Amino acid sequence: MNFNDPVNSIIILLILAAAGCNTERNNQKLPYLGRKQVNPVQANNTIRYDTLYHTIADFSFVNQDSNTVTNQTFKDKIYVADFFFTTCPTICPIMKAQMLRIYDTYKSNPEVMLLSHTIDPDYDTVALLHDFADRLGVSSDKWQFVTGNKEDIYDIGQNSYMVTTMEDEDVPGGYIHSGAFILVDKDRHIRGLYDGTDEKEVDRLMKDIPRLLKEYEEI
Amino acid sequence: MLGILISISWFLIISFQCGTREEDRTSREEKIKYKQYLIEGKRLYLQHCSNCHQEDGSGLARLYPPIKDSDYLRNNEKNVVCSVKYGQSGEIRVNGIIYNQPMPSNLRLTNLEIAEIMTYIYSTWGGEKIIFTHLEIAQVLDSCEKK
Repeated sequence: MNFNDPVNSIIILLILAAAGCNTERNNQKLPYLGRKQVNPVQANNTIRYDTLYHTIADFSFVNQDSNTVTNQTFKDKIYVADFFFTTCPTICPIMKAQMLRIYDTYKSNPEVMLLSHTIDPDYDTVALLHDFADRLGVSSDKWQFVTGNKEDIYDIGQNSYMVTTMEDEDVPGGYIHSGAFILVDKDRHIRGLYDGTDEKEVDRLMKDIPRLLKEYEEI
Repeated sequence: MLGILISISWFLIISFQCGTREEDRTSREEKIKYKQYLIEGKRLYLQHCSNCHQEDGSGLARLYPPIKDSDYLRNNEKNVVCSVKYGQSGEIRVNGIIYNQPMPSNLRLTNLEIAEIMTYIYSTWGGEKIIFTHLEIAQVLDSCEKK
């Protein structure tokens, strides 16, 4: 390539300028997290490649008001998910204080919801979750606290939301679990993972939520 | 005679000065000890208590009671010590609100550590600039229901 050629130089400049625009984070789409699958699709005489992004599996749990909560509950919503238990003495209270910040910020936005799964469903009954949510002062149409079959909860945590959850007698509270907040888009794809015990990380999440919402405005 | 008087005066002056120095030193040592308790108490508070009660002692909604400006703190010094060590369960009323979240025990905390935490929370939020000693803590812990 001849750098003295004015046409070439202009092209290079344009490319650099475009790259410059792309590095501005706010204009970028949020990434798709998790394993991607690229499937070749035969269409007429050409082969098209469809990307299948990691998707949250079907689920069915019961919330603090004894109502069934499924993927349908989050139809046309983006949501933030996490895993906790009400008697957890370590990271959960911090996570709940941080989640409450998100709740307060997006209280009046019907497109944003929150989903907290208990990982101690034997203890955290519907009544207990109801009391917990009530004491936090939050309502179920925005923030779902769900309980259900223990295996189902652990399975969806591990395989759909990609966070570790397990029982361990040696740690305070009896469970090891991640303090992650998972941002899920309207198509059940994970678009962000954040440390829910870190205020700065949650600040980042609260900046990513409007960015994700914007993607749907543009369509 | 004059010599003796001068000697006595000197002796008095010196002993008086020594006396004040001694007092100065004790109060200075007390102040340093108090500051040490505050610093160590804050560290322990952030490690063991602030997850629920928050860094600023304000608690969280109706889930975790406040420590800051709390009538419970003023009226239940002994229970506070017992709860820090042995945890607490069931309803408690703080500033007119009933809380009912179990508080975990902290059996590994030593009497000195509890004294430091108590000094920190009472000095910071209880309006009392007092130091708790490990001996006082030991005495209170002996009288706790859950031992």
